[in-house]
Amino acid sequence: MVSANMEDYLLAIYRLNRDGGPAKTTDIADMLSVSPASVTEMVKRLSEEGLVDYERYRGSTLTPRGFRHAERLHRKHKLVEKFMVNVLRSDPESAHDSACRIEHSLSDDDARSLCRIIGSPEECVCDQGNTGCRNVALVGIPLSEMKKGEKAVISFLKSDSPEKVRKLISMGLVPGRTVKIESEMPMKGPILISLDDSLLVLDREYTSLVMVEKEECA
Amino acid sequence: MCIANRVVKLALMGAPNVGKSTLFTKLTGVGVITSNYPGTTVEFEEGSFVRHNTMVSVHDLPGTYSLSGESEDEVVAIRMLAEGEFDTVLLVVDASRIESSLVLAFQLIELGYPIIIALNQMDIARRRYYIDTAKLGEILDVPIYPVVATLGEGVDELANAIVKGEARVSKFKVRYDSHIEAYIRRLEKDVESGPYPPRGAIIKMLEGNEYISSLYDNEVRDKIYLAAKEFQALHGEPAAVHINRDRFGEAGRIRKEVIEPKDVKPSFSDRLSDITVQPLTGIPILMGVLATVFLSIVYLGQWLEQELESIFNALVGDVIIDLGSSIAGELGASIGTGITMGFEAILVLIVPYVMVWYAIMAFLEDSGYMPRAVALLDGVMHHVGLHGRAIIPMLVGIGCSVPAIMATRTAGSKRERLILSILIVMAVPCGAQLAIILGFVSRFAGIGAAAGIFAILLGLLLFLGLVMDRWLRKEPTTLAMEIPDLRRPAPRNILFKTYSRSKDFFVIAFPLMLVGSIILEILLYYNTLDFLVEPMSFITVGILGLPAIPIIAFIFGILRKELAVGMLVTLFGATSVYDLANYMTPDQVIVFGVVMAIYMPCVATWAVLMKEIGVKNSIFVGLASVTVSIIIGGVVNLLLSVV
Repeated sequence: MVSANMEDYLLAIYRLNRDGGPAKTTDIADMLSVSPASVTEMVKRLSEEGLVDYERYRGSTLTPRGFRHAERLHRKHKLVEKFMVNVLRSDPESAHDSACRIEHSLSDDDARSLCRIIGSPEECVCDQGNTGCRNVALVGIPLSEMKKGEKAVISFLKSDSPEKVRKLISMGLVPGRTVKIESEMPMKGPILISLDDSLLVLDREYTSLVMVEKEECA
Repeated sequence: MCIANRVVKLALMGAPNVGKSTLFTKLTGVGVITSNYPGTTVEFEEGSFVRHNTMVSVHDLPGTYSLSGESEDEVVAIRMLAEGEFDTVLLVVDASRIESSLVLAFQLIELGYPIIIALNQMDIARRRYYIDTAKLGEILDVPIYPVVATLGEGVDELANAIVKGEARVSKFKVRYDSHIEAYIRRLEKDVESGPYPPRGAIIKMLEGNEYISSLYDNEVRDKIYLAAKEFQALHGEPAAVHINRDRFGEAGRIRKEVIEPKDVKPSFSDRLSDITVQPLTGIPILMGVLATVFLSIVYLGQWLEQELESIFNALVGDVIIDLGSSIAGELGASIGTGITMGFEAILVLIVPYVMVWYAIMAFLEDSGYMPRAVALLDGVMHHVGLHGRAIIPMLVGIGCSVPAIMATRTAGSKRERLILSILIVMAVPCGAQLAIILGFVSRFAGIGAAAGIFAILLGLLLFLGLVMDRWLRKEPTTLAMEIPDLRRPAPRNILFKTYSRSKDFFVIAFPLMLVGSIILEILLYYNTLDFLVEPMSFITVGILGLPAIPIIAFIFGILRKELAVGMLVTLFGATSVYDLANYMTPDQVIVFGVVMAIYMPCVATWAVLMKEIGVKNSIFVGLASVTVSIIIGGVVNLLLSVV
C-alpha cells in the first residue's frame, strides 16, 4: 500500500524526472516544502518498495512500476482538475488544491467514469502532450485490431454513427460484455466473434466502432 | 366440430433464429416461412387454432432482437404491438442462448404487455446446461413453458396456458444506472397519461424510439429529448448504450442464477456448427456443398425433365393443338402450340430445375447453413461491390431471375441493387439458361463445354462486379449478423418455402411466358421475322460463326429463352432436337449456348426489372447484355476456330 504522503513524493519525482534526469534531493525538498532529511528518509523507503532507484550524488529516478503509479496519479489529478474547471466551473487554483487531495483516493473505476463525464476519451487530452486519461480512464482499442483467440471486454462504443450504434446494441454488443475473436474470414472478410453463447459476424464498419479492453489488462 | 365462443388474440414475438416460425407452424398447423437467415420473416403471418371452446388467433410478428426501432422489422413489430390490442404476447426465447432473448423480454415487460414465455430449443439447452425454469419464471414474474418446437414437445401445455389466459403483466424491473433512474423519477409525472406504463415509455424515449415518442405530446417529447441530450453530454455516450448495458448486465445476472453449465463435450452437431464456419475447414466444406448442390440439380433436374416430358406428352400431347386447329384452322393450331409449349415449360423447366433448386435452398437456409456461406463469402463479395448477403438473390437467380430481382430488395442500397440486378441478368444463368447449357450444349458438345460456359459466366461475374465496383459511386456496405447453430430443418417448412418462392414465377413469369408463346407462334405462322435474317447475318454468321437463321431464335429468346432450342429445330426443319447435330457443329452449339446464357433478360424479367430498378436502367441492362453476349460469343467463336 502506497500512502498519500508517499504518492506526493512519487509525483514530485515524476515531475522533476520529466524536466530532465534524476531528481536531486534538494529539488524534491523545495518542491514539497520539506527538509532534505525527510526527503532522504522517504526516498529510502520508496526504493525499498521498488518504486524509486536512488543513486548517491545523482538523485532519484522512478522505476517502471513507480513511473506507472505516478503517471496514473498525475492523470487522475488532471482529470479532477479538468472536471472541476470545465464542469463545476471552479476556479483553477482551488481546483488544483482539491485535485491534490482527491488524486490519492480516487479509484481507477471512478476515474474512468469521470473521464466519460468530461467527454469522449479522444478529446480527453491532458497537458504536456500526454494522451490524457487513457491509462486511468478508458483504455480501448478497436475490436478490429484484436487477433484470433483474444478475449476482451467491451469498454465503450464510438458514437459517430447512431444507426450503427443502434444495430450494435441490438446485437448485444454493449459495454461490459466479453467478446472473443473466433476467426477472421478470408479476403479481408468480417470477423467471427463469440458473445456468451452467441456467434456473430461483424465487418470492419462495425468492429472499428467497438472499443474493447483486452482481458489481461482489465 | 369445434365452436369457439371466446377469442384470444396472440402476438408471437422473438429474435431471429429462435424457432419462432416453427412454433407458429406447430401451434396453428399452417406453414410459414422459417428461416435461419436473419430477417427473412419480414412479412408477418396469421393463423389460428381452437382449443377448449376458445379460438386463438396467432399473429407472427417480424423477428427482432430488440424494440429499439433500429430496423424496419423492429418498427413494424412495435407498431403491431401497439395497434393490435393483443390479449397475450407469446415471447419465444432460445434456451441455448438466453441473454439476448431476456433483453427483449425486459422491453416487453417494461411496455406493460401480458406475457407468456416459450423457452424453446430445450433439447439443445438441456444437453449443455442445468436450467431452472421455475426460478426463471419467479424472477421474471411471468409464466414460462419449456418447449422443443421442432419436435412438438411441450407445445400442448403451452397452448393450454394460452387459452387459459395465463399471460401476465409482470412486475419485474431492470435496475438502471442511477442517472437513468433519476430521469425516470423526474419525468414519471409527465408521461402518466399515455398508452404505455410511464417507466417503459420514458426508457424507450430516452433510447430514442421515434414511434413511441410520436405517441406523446410535444412537451413531453422535448423534455425527454433534452434529458437524453444532457445524458450524452455528461457521459459521452448515448443513453441507449447505457440502458442496454444495464439490460445485458441484468440478463447476465439472471443467466448465472438459473443456468449452470454441464461439463459436456461438444456434440457432433456442435462440432459441425463450428467447423462449417471456421475458414480453414469452412471453405472446403462450402466448395463441397456448392458442388453437391450443382451436381444434384444437374442430374436430378435432367432425370425429372425427361420423366415429366414423357408424362406430359402422354397426357396432353396434341390435344390443345387439335382443338385450336378445329376452331381456327392453321392459325388456331399455332396458338394451340403456343399454349401447349407454355404449359410444357412449367413441367420440363420449372418443376425440375427451379423447384428442385428452391427446395435445396430452403434446406440450406433452414438448417442454418446459409449465414455461414454468407460470412465466408463476404470478403470476396466486397471486392465486387457487394455483401456476402448478396449471395442469396444470386442463388435465387439460378432458379428464376424474377424472384431474384425481387430478392435484391434486401440488398439495401440502390447501388447494390443495380449491381446485383445486372449480375443476375447477365452472369447468373436462370433455369431456362441452365436447361440450354445442361440440356442442349452438354448433350451436343460434351459436359466439358457446359463447364466451360459456367467458367465464362463466373469470369464475367467477377469482371462485371469489379468494373461496377470501381465505376459506381461507393457506398459503405455493412454486415452484422448472428450465426445460428446448425439444426435439422422441418420438411413442412421446406415445402412451404419452396412453394412461396416459386409463386413469383407462377404469378408473374408464367402468364407472360404463355402470352409470349402465343405471340411467337403467330409471328412464326406469318413468317414475320424472316426479313431480319439477311441484314443481321453479319452478327450471326460474321461475328458468331453460326448459320444465319438462328437470329430468329435469338429474338424469340427475349420472349422465351428455353424455347430457343425448340425454335432451332423448327427453323432448320430438323426432325427433332437430336437431329440438330446435322445442322450445327458442336462449336456452333457452344457459341449459341454462350450467347443465350448471357444475353437479354426474358420478358418476365424485363417486367420486374422496370419496376425495381427503373426504365432507364432496365434498357441499359438490356442493351449491355446484348452487346456483351455478342462480344463474348465472338471471342469464343474465334478461339474455337483457332483450336
